[in-house]
Amino acid sequence: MKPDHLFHKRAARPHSNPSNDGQFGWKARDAAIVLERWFNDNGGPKVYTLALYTVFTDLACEKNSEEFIVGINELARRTGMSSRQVRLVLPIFAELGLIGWIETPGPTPLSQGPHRYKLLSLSSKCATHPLNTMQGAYTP
Amino acid sequence: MKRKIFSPKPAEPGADNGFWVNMDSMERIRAKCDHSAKLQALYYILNLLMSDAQARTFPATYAQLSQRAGIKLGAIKRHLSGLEYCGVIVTKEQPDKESALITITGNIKLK
Repeated sequence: MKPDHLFHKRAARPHSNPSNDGQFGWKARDAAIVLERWFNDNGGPKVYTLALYTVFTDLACEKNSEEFIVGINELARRTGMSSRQVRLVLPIFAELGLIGWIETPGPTPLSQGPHRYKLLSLSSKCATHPLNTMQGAYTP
Repeated sequence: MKRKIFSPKPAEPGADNGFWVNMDSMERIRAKCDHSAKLQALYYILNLLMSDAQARTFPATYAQLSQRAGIKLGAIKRHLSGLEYCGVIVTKEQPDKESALITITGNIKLK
C-alpha cells in the first residue's frame, strides 16, 4: 500500500486569494505619467520606449540596484527590437531624466562596449521569494 | 502649448506611487515571442491598469489600451491574443465589441 503522502492532492489556489510568491519588479507610476505626457505632446515610438523602460526596470530589479552595466545588443535582445531602434529611443530617456548612462568605448572607433546605466529618480527594487532568487543570474 | 516636464519622485517599493509586475510573466513573453516589444509594453500597461483597479480582473476599452500603450487601435486585439498565447492574460470581449474584460493570470501583487 502506498504511503499517505502520495495520495495528497495539490489543492488549486483560490482565484480570489492569489499568491505573492515569485519575483516582482517595482515600477514607478510617475515614470509612466512622464512618458505618457511626453508622447502626447511630441508623438513618436511610445510602444518601443515603454518596452525598453520595462527592460531597464527589470534589469535594475535583477541586479537589485539602480545602476547596472549592459550592452546595446542585450537590450535589443530583451526588448525584441533592433539595436538601431534601441539607439533611437535612448535619447528620449535622457531628455525626460529617467535614465542616465556612461558610454564605454570599444576596441575600435566604430564599436562600443557595454554602457553603465542608471535609473534616475526611481527606486526599482524587487520583491523576491527567497527560494526563487535571480540575483547574479544575469551577466552582461 | 508644451507642458513642462517634471522629474518623477523616487518611488519606494510598496508605496502608493508605484506598482508591481510579475517578472516571470514578462520573461515568459520574451521567451515565447521573438519580437515582443509591443507585447511587453502592452503587458506593462495592463499591470498599471490592474493596479488602478486593485483587482486581477478589470474592464478596458480597446481605444484606451491603444492610446496608453501606443499601439494602433486595429492591432490591439491581435496583441491581446498574443498575450493570451503567452498565457499571461485571459480576455473576454464585451457585447459592445469595443472593450474587454481582462484577467491577469499567474501570481500578482497588488499592494
